Amino acid sequence: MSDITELSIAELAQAYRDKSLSPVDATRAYLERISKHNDKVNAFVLLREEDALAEARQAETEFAAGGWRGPLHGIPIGHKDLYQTAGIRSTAGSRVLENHVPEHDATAVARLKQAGAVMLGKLNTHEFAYGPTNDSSMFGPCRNPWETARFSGGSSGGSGAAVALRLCAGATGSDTGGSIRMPAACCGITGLKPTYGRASRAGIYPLCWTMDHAGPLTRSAEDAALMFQPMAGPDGRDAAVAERDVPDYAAALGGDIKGLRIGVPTHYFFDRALPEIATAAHDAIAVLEGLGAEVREVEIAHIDHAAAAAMVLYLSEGTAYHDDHIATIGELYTDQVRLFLEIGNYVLAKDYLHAQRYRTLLGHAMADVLAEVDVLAMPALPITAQPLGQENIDIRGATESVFGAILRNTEPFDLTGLPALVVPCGNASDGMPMSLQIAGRPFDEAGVLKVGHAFQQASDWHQRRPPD
Amino acid sequence: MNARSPITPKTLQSVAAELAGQPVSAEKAAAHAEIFENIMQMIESLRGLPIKDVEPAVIFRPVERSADDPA
Repeated sequence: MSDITELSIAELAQAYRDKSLSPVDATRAYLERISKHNDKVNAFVLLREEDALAEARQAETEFAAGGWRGPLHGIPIGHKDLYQTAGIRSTAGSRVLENHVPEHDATAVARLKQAGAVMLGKLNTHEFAYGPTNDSSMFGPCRNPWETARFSGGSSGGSGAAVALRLCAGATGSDTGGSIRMPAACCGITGLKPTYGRASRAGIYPLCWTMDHAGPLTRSAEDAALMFQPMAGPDGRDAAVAERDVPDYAAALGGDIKGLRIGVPTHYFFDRALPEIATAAHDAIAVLEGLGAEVREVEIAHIDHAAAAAMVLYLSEGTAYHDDHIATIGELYTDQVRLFLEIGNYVLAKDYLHAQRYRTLLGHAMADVLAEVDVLAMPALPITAQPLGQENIDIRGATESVFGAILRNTEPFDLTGLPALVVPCGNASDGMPMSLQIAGRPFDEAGVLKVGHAFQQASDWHQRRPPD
Repeated sequence: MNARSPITPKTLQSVAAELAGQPVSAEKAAAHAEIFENIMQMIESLRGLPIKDVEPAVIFRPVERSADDPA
């Protein structure tokens, strides 16, 4: 039974078509793994065993009648508990919503349901997505499956841990400063933050309206393409979603990357990363070069201010959203999130607007660079997943906060809204995964997925998994 | 631009209570002051950017209803 959970989404979909496996087989296999292994990582916080099996049987019935909805039909997935799921408790990891049961599905939930995916349950999240470690949650910390004394990364920590430990075939996440990519990188899996406005945020509890993104965490770029397909495109609910055609992401994976121009921004992304992480990223880029890509060093103007701008945006928009609750039921929040929400009261309007103007400035700087290259490549994170509770880390002789460090390489792509994919590219000397980040032009999810897929065709880091 | 004064707990307590409507204790204000002083030093870097002619990324968009929207 456990072998079924080693199959990717693409492989499982093929097995269903071949009739060598059924959705009920797969769902039972995942439920069995969850019962054995979930406690050590605390990834799933709500399970719907009977309903998931009913959905799996429904998929089987539809297959038998000749109906096939697509590659996600009958695939067992989990949803970040930041996503509202109709009739199913959705807490955002917070006692503020401890017993909240939404009436409506988030758009992404509805679309994945329509695509035939089987919902195994809800996944742990840093409270209201307001942190990069998933150690502040009403459910307790989510733990890294590679070493459970370390954080999973967040805020989509449950999603990252569950996919890495083969507790589900794929999972949804959200990304405001890196919250899909950080847990994906910490747990050694693939994560896609799409372009801002490519996928609907409707029905996902907001952290920052202007920086929130919805996307998948999976075992491969191919699986990310399959899972993201139904999530993309306008829904009439999220006014930020662009009225643009959605390409066939899986079809776009084919072909080679000969002549692809990769920009490598050494300053900021590499020179402030742990040396072995920078080396691993360079080695991964060398693999892409070996496949025919051209690599050149680039410089992104004004990049050094990214952390300051992101901080102002988190503080302002987060506090505005929770304004009605901070004074009245503040004690229901975790200490860390409550602190951030209270601090947000002090940010001046003019500084919020300076931060939003910086985004335009950085956006132009990125566009200038992406006029000369097709994608950017750099370490996904400057550090590996650290022990739970550790506050500071030494990087190349400088001590900085873990929170600040872990967000550094991902935040610029939330600020600019550019699509960014992370793929595993090694294990560090502490045993923890290291990852490469590939970022592209607006709405070029197909491009970044293709580069990630090419790397994964030429390497096997994405096939490694933490031991049980 | 004039250099700003260092943040004091008393200032933050006043802002929290009188402007934000979310009073905090003196002890909490002291903790906030230390944290926010560090944040302000980051924010100051944004104030010095060459953004005179740069518009915010967030621009107003008039609300437009389609014939299908409920009244």
